[in-house]
Amino acid sequence: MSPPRFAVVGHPNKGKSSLVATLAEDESVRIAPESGTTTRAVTYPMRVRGETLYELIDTPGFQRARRALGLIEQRAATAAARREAVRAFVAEHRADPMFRAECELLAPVVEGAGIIYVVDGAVPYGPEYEPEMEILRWSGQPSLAVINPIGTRDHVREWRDALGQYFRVVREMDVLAAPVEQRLDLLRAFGELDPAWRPALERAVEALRAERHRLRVRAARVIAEMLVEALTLAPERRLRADDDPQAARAELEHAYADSLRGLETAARARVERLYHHEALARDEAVLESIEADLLAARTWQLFGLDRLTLAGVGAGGGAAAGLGVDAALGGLSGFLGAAIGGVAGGAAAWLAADRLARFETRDLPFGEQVLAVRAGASRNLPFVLLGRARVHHALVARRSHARRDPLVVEGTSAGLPGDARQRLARLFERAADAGDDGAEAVVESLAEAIAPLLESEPEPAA
Amino acid sequence: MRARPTVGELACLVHALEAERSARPAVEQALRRRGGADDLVCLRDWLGAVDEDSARRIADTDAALRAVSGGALAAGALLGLVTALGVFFYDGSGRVNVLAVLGVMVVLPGVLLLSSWLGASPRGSGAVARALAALGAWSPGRLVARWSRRAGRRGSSALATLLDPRHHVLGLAPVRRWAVVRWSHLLGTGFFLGALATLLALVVFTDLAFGWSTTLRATPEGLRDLVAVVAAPWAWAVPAASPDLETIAATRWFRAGQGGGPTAPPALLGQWWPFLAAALAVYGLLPRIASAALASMLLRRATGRAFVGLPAARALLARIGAAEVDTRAPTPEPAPPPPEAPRRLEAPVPVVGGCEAVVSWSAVPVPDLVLADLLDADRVLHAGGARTVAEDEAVLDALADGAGRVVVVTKAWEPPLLELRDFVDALVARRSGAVAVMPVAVDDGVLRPPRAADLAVWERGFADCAVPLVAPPREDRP
Repeated sequence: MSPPRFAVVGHPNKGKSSLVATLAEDESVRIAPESGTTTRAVTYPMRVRGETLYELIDTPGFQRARRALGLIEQRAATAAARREAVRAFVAEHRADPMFRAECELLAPVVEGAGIIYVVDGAVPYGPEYEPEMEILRWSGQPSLAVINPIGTRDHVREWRDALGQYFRVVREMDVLAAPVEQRLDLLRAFGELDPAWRPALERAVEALRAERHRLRVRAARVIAEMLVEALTLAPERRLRADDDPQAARAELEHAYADSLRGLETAARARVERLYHHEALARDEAVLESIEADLLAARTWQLFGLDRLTLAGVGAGGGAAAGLGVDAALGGLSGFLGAAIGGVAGGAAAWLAADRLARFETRDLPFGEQVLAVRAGASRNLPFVLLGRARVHHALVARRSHARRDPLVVEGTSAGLPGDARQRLARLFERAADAGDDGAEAVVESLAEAIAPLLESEPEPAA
Repeated sequence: MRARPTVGELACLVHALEAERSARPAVEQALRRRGGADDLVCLRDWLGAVDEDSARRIADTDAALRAVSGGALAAGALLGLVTALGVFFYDGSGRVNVLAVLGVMVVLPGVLLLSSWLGASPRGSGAVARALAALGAWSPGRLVARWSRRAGRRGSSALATLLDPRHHVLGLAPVRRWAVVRWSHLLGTGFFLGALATLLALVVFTDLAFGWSTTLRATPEGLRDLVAVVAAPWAWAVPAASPDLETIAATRWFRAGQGGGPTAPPALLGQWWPFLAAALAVYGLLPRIASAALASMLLRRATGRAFVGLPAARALLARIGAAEVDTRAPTPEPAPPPPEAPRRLEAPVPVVGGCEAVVSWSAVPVPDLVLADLLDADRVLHAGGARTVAEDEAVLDALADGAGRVVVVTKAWEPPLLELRDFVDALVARRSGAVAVMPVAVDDGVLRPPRAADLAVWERGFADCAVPLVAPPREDRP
């Protein structure tokens, strides 16, 4: 059996292509304010391991519906003849430039596609819609209307009243802002149009849900790699005899900060590509200028752990290390090791809360010296990077592929649960200690820890 | 090709992964469809697809790496030659001190050999690890790496990416480290080859007089025991390379009191050279060759692991292998023809003299009387919307042959359709009077200028139409 097909039809400029871009997660769909941007039907098959489960067809909008209806009416003497009349109209006028849009959009319908009729709930209903709705009704195909309020919802009620007379199912969905679950619900509704289509649509929804999960896991891996790269980043600079140490340090810190920003930008681009938002990268210049900088004080306040929490995390890690000493001494130390470790870890974390980099000077052969950043010295940096990555991921994961505005990453992430904080802090320490050699193992563990934190998709603040 | 990846191939892969930060969905999709290949083959196919010149680039990079290795060997040989000339310097006035030769040519290189391996041990952040890392900083292979980065030879961009430690690539550290260690040992191998060759040349073409001299209280017997231990690996095969007590006792030499001249039979003074040559070969050259071979093996293994294990490569493989769900169009929608320059909205329609008629297209929700009054029109007609094409025709007939102005008022929030263009074109064709189209917004039955976004749609929609778009008259008109 051939897979179900759905022709997305309607008046021009009412969001047909936006709906297709959103459901197909394809940003290459042409969307523009000009009337008639879509000039021919384009098919977007949904494939799972090569098997097509359904097809969405983006079509041009009606341009001469009244004239077409007039011609169809002439052929349909009775209600029984209407479906055939629509088919005959398409067959007869396929090469006629006058009805190119009507034939392009009706061809899949007369070939058996379900009808997804899209209107804009932000503008008033008007009688000019009736001829096209009449043609679609005459086609006899299962149909569903989607009210897409492009802006306000001022006229949704009157649209519901009007559409209910022509379509079996009427749904409302803000195509650009709808969360993923709502999109999947709409797809499931497509399956309700014909019992024969239901299994394929159910499978498609499940596959899409599983794919979203896979994408989250892969995004977690990207973020984990970025964090480990940031934690193992240890730029160095050769010190010459005439170098001012303070200036050299400032220069190195600047280079270090640039590298961190570069890592974050690259990871963002990779997450965006995962979710098929490839064109977003082109807005990177805009992005950087409008969003808060990675290393701005406010960013650290928003995303980093506060000094007390950080000290708590440090104390936990120190106590764990101290417990190891206690265990080695067979308990003779009376948990003194844990106590000392906890206090030392907490104090170290407290003191280093705001510090981005720690520097060290190393001797080289022939009396040379290098100034180097000590990898992973900032305890808060990975939490800041992770917080920003979570917000960015949440925005990208739910962003409609119909949106053409630049992505603005702002807002904050939901707080980390205490156990997650401790686990992450330990993994961050492991990453910094492992250096490049053990990085791969830490990336795996870190990705596992981060994936559930992406599941909750933090709500960006206004 | 199923051979292990070479360092040059890895360098080119890293370079391509860095350059291809913006993925190539088409390439990845093609590889995905092909399926079935293992990671190595998949990455090689990807490299070949994103860089058509990759085979040449890989060959060039490998050639550059071989040249660097050859250079390290040659530089070591030159260093060995110069050192040997210094250590074995003999002008007939003294003797070549065997103990000094062993110290400079065997003990010191042995310490350096040990430090190069310790310095190459995996890193951590502890004090021991940092101390070991500091040892690694003394590895001469680092100088070779630095020199090779700077060398502007073919394939150097990929090589520079691979070797530059400032270029942070996760997962590449073992490759960089073993490359440096290997070059260190190649340098050492060259050093001992050069030193041995120099010793043999001096032995053949000059007469060397060896002796042993130390301020310490040493006896010939003690030295004989030491020499026996040192010469144990070869003594059974080459007895001549293990000096006996007589030679050792006869060649002891004190600068003070002997006038600096040899006293032992000259033939006996030369008998140390087989021992020294064997010591250089067994304790200098062979460990370096073995170390270079081991480092080469570790480098090959690290290269193979990094090739399929680099995070960026894993991410690529995941993209290729895991995308089981595909919702996008097989081929992107073709680009539209370039739009015509938009027709700008003209000034508010002049109402002096009024309009012959106003056509309310598609039932603009404003009372006819308001429209007629606002535009000073004699009559208001209706077309479009729910009306039939025949009814449009009737309106066209009613307005045919008129010479006055006709304004077609339309809803600005709806896009301009071709059926409106048909109507306007027919109107223009049948009349001599001016025709204008007025997209309007309506707020509670009152005409308003359209929103900028709606207006832009109309301006573009009427870009190729001779009929002007006009704005509604201002409410403060006389």
